[in-house]
Amino acid sequence: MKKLLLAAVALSAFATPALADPQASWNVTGTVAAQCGAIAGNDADLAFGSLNINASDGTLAANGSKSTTSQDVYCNGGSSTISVAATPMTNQTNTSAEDSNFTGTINYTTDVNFAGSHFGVGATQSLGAKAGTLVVTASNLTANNSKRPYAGDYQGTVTVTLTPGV
Amino acid sequence: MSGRITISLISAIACAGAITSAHAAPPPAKFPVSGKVNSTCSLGTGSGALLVSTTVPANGKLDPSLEGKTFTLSGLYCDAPSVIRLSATELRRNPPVDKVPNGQSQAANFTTTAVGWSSIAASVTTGETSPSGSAAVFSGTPRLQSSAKTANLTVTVGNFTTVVGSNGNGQKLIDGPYSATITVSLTPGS
Repeated sequence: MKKLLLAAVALSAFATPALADPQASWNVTGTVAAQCGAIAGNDADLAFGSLNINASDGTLAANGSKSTTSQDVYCNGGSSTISVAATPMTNQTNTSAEDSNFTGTINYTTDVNFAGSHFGVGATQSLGAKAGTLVVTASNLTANNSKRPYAGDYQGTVTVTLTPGV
Repeated sequence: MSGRITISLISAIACAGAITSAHAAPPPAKFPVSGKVNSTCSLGTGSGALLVSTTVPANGKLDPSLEGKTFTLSGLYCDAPSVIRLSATELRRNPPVDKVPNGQSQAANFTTTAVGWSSIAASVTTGETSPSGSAAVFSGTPRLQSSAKTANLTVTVGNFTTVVGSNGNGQKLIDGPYSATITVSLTPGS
């Protein structure tokens, strides 16, 4: 009986430290906010200057393209979107209405090249996480309804909006 | 009650802050696209110079078919307000003789009118006074077209009158070839 008691005491001495060994864990967390870098607009980049006119009939001739200076931009969210809007160039000095021969509106094609991906005019186009250079190009100038453009100064606007999304 | 309002406000502010930081959207970038169309006029396929020519026979009388003769200029345009001008030389023997015999003439004045561009037709009447004639160019009053325009232009000649000398002689034209030049010009402006 005495031997049994001593054995029990001895066993309990070994078992007790193992059951009391503490464990703890900590989660290390953080949040990277979805965001896009700012794009700088530039007044001079898409200025075509004096437009080429076909002298024989006054229609708009080919005028090539103009592009903005390349700039580095990013969006870090996988659901980021890009919206591109463009207003036609309209005559700022002669606001006469379009008639059967002349127009005060010149249309053009807009292209936004963001890190090799091209975006035309459109709202909320899927972009994803992307980083690289961004260049805006205006090209293919055409007088509205293929009419002759009124003389004067023309202006339109391309608006590029980056919207971050996770 | 006021404690709950305070907590709610704090929560709202905290949420607003969280939303802002979660989606940091840059402002839209605007790129002006600009160009300029210069004021331009064109006389279409023609140069604007019209030649009136005829041959005066021995009887010294002008061919009556010259009266009312018309010329048409096609495809004129101006992309801005414009001014049309007509100028002309008299109808004169070509080549002129050095000495015009007494009682004869080698020049005839006439009127030319351009219809189809300005609301008031442009016209000019040559004003030669010597039976010998000259190479003088006579200019009419400029006429305004206040809008951009495309049109065809009709130029008519008429009212031919032999230039009579100061002594009253010279009703008869020297026979031979005669010509006059009418010039139409279109320029932007008002």
